Amino acid sequence: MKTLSSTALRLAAVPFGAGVVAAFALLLSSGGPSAEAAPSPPTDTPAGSASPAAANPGAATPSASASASAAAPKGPTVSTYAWPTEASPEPKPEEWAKATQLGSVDVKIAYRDGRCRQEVVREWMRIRCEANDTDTTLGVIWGRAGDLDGVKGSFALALDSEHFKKPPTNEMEALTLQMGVSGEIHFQAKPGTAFVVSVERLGWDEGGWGDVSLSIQSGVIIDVSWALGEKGPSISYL
Amino acid sequence: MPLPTRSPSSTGSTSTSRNRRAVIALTASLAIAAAAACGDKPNPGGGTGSTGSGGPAGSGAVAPHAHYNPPERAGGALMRSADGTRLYLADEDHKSLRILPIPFLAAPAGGAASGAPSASAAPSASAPKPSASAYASASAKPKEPPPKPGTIPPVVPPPNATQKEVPMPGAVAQVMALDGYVLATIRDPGLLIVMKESAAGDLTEERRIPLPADAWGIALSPDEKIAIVTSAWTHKVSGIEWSTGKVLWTLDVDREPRGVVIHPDGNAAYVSHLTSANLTKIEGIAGASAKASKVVFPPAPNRAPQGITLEGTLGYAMVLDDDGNRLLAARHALGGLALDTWFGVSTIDVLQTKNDKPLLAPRIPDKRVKSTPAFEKARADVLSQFADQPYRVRPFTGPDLTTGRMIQPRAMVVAHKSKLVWVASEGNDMVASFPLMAAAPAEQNINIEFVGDKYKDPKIIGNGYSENDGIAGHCGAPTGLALSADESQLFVFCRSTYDVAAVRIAPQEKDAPPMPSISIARVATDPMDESVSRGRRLFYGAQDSYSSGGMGCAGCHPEGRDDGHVWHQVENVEEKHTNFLAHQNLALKTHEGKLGYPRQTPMLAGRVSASGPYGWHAQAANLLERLAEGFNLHRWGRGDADPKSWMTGERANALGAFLRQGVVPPPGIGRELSDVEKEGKKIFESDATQCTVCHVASTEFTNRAPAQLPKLPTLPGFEDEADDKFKTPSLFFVRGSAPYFHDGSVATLSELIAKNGDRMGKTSQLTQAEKDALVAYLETL
Repeated sequence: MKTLSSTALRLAAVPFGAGVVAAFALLLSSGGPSAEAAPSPPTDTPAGSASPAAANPGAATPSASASASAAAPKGPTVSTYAWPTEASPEPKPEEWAKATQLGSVDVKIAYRDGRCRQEVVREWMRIRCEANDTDTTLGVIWGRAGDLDGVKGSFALALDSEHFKKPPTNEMEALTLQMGVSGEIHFQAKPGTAFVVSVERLGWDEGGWGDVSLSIQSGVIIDVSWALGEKGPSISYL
Repeated sequence: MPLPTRSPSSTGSTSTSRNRRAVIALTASLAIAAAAACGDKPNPGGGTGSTGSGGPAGSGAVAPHAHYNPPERAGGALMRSADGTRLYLADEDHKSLRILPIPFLAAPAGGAASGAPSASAAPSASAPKPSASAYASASAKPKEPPPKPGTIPPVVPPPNATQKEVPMPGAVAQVMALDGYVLATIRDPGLLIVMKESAAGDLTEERRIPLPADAWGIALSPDEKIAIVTSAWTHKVSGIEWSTGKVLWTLDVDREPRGVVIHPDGNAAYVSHLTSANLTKIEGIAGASAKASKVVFPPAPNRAPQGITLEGTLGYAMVLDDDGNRLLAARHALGGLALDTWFGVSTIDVLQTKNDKPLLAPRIPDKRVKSTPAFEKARADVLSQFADQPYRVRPFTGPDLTTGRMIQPRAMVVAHKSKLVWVASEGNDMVASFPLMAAAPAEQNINIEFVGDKYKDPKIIGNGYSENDGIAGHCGAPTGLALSADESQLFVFCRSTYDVAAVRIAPQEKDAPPMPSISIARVATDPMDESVSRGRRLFYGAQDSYSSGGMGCAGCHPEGRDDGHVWHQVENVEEKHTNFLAHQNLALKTHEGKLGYPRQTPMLAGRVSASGPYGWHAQAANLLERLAEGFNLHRWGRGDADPKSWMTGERANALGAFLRQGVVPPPGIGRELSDVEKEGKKIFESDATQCTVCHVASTEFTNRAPAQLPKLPTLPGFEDEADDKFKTPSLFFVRGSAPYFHDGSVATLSELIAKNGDRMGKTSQLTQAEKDALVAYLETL
């Protein structure tokens, strides 16, 4: 459940002054310790949750928290893929280029529609998440719990994106170029694998007074688990 | 011989004040039979009180019908029959087993008793979710008059609602439905009741199997031959060949065993505890040499402060996934991190049964798998400038740890089709679903349904902090869950109001008659008076912001007992006021590693009949003052409860009435004292030991006065306490309320007596045999 709208920093105004960091006016958006404790709505209906009984053919094990893509993949899914029982070396880039697609899952990234694509090379899995719009930028992949030693992450930065190719005209735009447009994790899936990460939005929000704030918002939570005795991992998204 | 059913004295009548207050309980189509107590009737299956066996076999072994998935082989307060046509409800407070037809909440207009739902009578599926009362008013005839101010509004069953009420010989805790048989656990006296089920749904008692007192949880082996029953107060677990009544084994386990599941391998069972997160594993369940061992299973690794292993409570329920590789346990994580939660968070944790290890490794604070340059730039600035302002720093040092949605998780059920686990959240009158196959299921609630609803009671006006402020008018304290056979409906038993809700949880078939999303029927009146009824709702509920700081009384005092935890009573956390914190790391200021005074949760059941004084230092003149004090203590920050205000008084009166009349004390020993215990009694009452100087037998074994005793050493993590005069505690039920002393520093009575010397009375002169006898006597109180 994404209840966080914790505007941590608020810019007094644009344009910026001598530097981005110095320009932070750091006004609280709602003040005090309770700023992050806004009550959640009484009912919780994340994407795809209205029909929990519906199958989620594109996802891993039925990931009730996220809806499958409109078109079910013709290839294997996380649950039907024949997961190797032997460990193998980490794939090389050319192997990733030929990775087996395991479908994609519709998710919400800080209330915005997004998608996480899943692919696999042998037992090595890659999950890439991004918003459907071109303006939602990402800041960090938090490791929330579990064995994260083998989990690696990466971002495709805005500065490499076609959408942001226009040179920045102020510090805010310059900082935006250093944000991600998609975030990715890859890991070796094996019995006992269990971790939870979240891909968080980092971006700018315009307030009612014309000021602009830098905010971090909870994005999509990715929960990966492969209990001993199971034939493959289960992945769920929220 | 079919078991008798009990009918209401006045079906559909509203002629008495109780009926007006507490809803028409049953309709005219109830099966009527003479109400005869089960205990007075012949017991055809034997089971006459002998230990170890239920007596001679009744109708012989039962052919197994091993068609249940692992999650369905665990009982609950509510369970669907094997053929899907009935619900069995273990109604503990009324000491009865209720049989409710499915769909008992469908409401054809003037339809047959158990006919198909009618589109014309039931609200449209596309209409806004109706309140229970709205649904009731749309379907029930005659209409109830508007409730008087201060009374509980009626939730009337629709016309086709029928139920049978089967009296039980004691409080019935859980029910387990098989194909053709129904098993039920009885708390006091401890029993497993075996009943044969006819095609018409009538039950015939086959046998009573005596078990250690407080029989509670039940599960069946995969071949359905072995039933395993937990006995909570007596901390025993028994394996029973239920078809013959033979008790195969009984094992002593840790305090308050409750939930039980049996692995599909048929060899091992897992037992959860109310006072601990660890489980008990029992192997070799089919034989006579079953063995118990402890499975370390810390709660909420994803919410644990760094380097801290949390403690857990409220282990009422567990489920297994279909293959039995994962065991999911819903419970409360004391000290689990969240925002402003002085008590921690509720959680669902996953155990791998292949190696009995938690699936998820602990949280690593500030673990960035990857971050962007923009994030790092902003983070560096915030950390350098605002290190002393946690709410500014927090978003840059870790993910959002929202307050959990569940409060006091109570029951679980698995929906196989959707691979979800549904959990009943007792404190906020809610049911929620979570992914079954996840590492941290509680982080991802999929659906939330608030089955409870509030009413504007002039005596319990909330602070208005939220629309849910107040106490439940109906469907309070969800306690039991069952799914319809097609998993389209979730049935919820609500303990504090005696309602059953039917929640639609899957889209309807295209041509199916429309059903309301939630409908509620009251299946019984509150057996106590209105004040107790109000107190019952306050006790279980966590939504009344005036009396509760986010967790209900039952969260720490489950069933009026205790959670076995030692809390930090803290002054001036964050310049706020006295709080109880589950763990010192919850406080931002830790006073150089020492935080607050240690306070073990006191047991309430059977210990609050005295007029006063109350409180650790006897500071409250009476129970009502103490309750008002508690309203302000048990929260983050200071409460608003003014002991002299009428708002406080009404709540305290109601809660006090419930604690004294509604909370059922644990079972007594139910026998004469043994010779050793008699010897211990003599020692206890002797002038030499002086026990009775303070522990006065006639007043709950306490003189209710503070005593100046030699000071106990200050425990690590706690502050030194200036006021070291503590009120003499009651010894009632002392055997089941460990740990001991105000600081919980002693784990057992034996240890307490061994270490006592002459600190309390004089016991240093006692021989070991005399000390053992004294302990034996104390355990009978």
